[in-house]
Amino acid sequence: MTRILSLAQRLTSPLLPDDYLTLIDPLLAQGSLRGRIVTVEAESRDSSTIVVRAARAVAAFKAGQHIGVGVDLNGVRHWRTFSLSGAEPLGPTQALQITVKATGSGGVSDHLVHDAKAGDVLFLDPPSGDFTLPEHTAEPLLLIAGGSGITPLLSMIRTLAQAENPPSVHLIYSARSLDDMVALAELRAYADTKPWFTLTAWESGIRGRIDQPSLALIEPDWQQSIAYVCGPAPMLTAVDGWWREAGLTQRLKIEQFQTQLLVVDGEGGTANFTASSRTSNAAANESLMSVGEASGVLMPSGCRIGICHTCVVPLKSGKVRDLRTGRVHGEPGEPIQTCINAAACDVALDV
Amino acid sequence: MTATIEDLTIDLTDDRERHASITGTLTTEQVDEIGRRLDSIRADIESDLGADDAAYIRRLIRIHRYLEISGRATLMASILPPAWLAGTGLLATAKILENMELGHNIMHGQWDWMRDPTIHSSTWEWDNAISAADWKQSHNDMHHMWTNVIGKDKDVGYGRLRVTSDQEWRKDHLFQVGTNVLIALFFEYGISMYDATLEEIKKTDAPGHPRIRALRSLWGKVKPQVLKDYVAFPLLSGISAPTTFTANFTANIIRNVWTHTIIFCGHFPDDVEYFTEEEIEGESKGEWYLRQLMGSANIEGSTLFHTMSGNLSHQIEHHLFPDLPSNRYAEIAPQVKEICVEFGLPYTTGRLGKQSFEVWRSLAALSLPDDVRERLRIAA
Repeated sequence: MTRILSLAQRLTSPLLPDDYLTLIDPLLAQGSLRGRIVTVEAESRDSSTIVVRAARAVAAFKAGQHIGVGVDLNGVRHWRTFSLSGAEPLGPTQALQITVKATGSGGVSDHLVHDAKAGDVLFLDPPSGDFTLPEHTAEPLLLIAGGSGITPLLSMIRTLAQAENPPSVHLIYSARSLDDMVALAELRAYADTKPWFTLTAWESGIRGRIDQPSLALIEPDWQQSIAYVCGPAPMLTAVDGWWREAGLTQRLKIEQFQTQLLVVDGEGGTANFTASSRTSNAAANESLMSVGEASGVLMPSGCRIGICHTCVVPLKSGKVRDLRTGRVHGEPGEPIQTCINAAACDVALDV
Repeated sequence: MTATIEDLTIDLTDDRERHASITGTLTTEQVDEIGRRLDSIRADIESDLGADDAAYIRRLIRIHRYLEISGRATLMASILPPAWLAGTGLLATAKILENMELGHNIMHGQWDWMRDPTIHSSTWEWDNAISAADWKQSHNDMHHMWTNVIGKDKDVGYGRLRVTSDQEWRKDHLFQVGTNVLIALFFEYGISMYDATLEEIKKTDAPGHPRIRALRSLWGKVKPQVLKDYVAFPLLSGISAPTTFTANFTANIIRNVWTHTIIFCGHFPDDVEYFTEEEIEGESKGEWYLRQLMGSANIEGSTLFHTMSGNLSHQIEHHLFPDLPSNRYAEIAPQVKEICVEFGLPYTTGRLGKQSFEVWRSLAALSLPDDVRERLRIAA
């Protein structure tokens, strides 16, 4: 196939065969991965489960991993990362299932929940991520979900539901109310029929946020479990703190969906994107990724919250401020994550 | 370095005198006001860009590809004269669209706001003898920054032609009408050789003779082009190989002549102004806008004509706002014209025949040394 493509390239030069294949069907693109939405099912008033059929099979992903989804909104392409919510496949698969919660800010999530329909074409990044179950799952698992953080944990539970000898699993699912909880009926069915599974549905709107005493009451053996937590940043900080105090950090795995960025008082500067010949004002609070994108620069991006390091570009000059910690840093040549760094003065980036 | 009030005052006065060729009788306040009004036209368009604009460029790309496929498919039977004619026509149209409305505009970054890596100035490569990278450097940077500045804007005559009496006459200008015919026929090679040589000569510390290096880098881009049009497709058409060869050659020539005609009408008709480096030093934003306005000329025509010229028929609007999507130039032209009328500024435009005639007439007139021209009473 690659030989045919490279011969075909002689005829299409300087374009690629993809540029002609996509005229027939966008899913024929070989250089990038696309998919077509098969179903959109509402899970609650602001979340939906979307099943996408990828143009080509991707390697069997692990429960807890995520994919990148690209959507054109108002002519502009936006990318966001979503956890896969379906069970692990047995082998390479074209079926990818995500469960999306609308944020109300008019972006990708809102579009997917409210406007997307079967037949729509999406751009995809293959599954990746290391928020996955341990290889040999014999020890008890404690899964803590806050709001939309349920998605990777759903994938894990659905996978274990098909396993031969699953370990004991306790899911603590915290959301504002029961109405906001996704797949509640399915989870209750597991709790009723599977002796290894326990569900605690915590309505934070009524009972407030979970604190450490409550955790100890819900799951007295929490220190003996391997724990996975996914949810809003304050919840992750709190949970991380409890495990740290108990000296058990290595038995806790955290999956972040957002990152808390500082509101900075200081000065920004101008950002010069040297390879793209673009310069723009860069506010002290604005990530360099967002400054670049607003100027039309093709900024590499991935999780957009400082974890995956896909967005790293070399800093040519100037200093940047890490928006998570406030730390000002930067040497010429230093690779900088553009999604969580802002200009601390005039900067130049090689992108 | 601290300056005293006296130093600053003197500088301002000097600037006003220096920029007089740009600002004429306008006051500084007026020039700034013009700048603000043009800035706001720009801001309005930028905030309005959306799905319709994205749909426009995607549609145009599809049209181009279908035209090209039909052209090349028809030419598989190019041994039959009707197929040769139809195929050449289709392919020439495709190449013109690709060069002007697509290539030139996409490489200006006009569509970068879409964040589509396949329609982006950093990745787009075009069906032309000059590489995108070389083109962007000489065009986006040099020509648009130094527009119409003699000695800095190499597009003023492309190093060979005398297009304004501000340029000094040389002996080889005597033949420049003939030279321009050749440049027109082989425009893509003319431009690419001229650009490639410039770039290579700049790299003074690289090994080897600059001209040899230039030719080698040129071949890197030209080779796949030559293979595609003159080897691969002819061979693919079997017995039509020789006629497909001539058809592809003709299509390229048609594209060259068309783009050359449009481009030369952009800056060389009568009434377009030229400037010196000293005159533009310390230029303000408003003055930059004025220089772009006075250094450019539009061509009047139908919507189809505008599209086929890559909207370079709106040369003035393009020079004022090089990175605004070309489909918006027709919309803002009346607003630009209104500002010109209000402030008594020139807005040079005319139909293709008239603009083109003025260009060739100037070339002919300027091919003569100035004293001969004066004796024969030929204006230029």
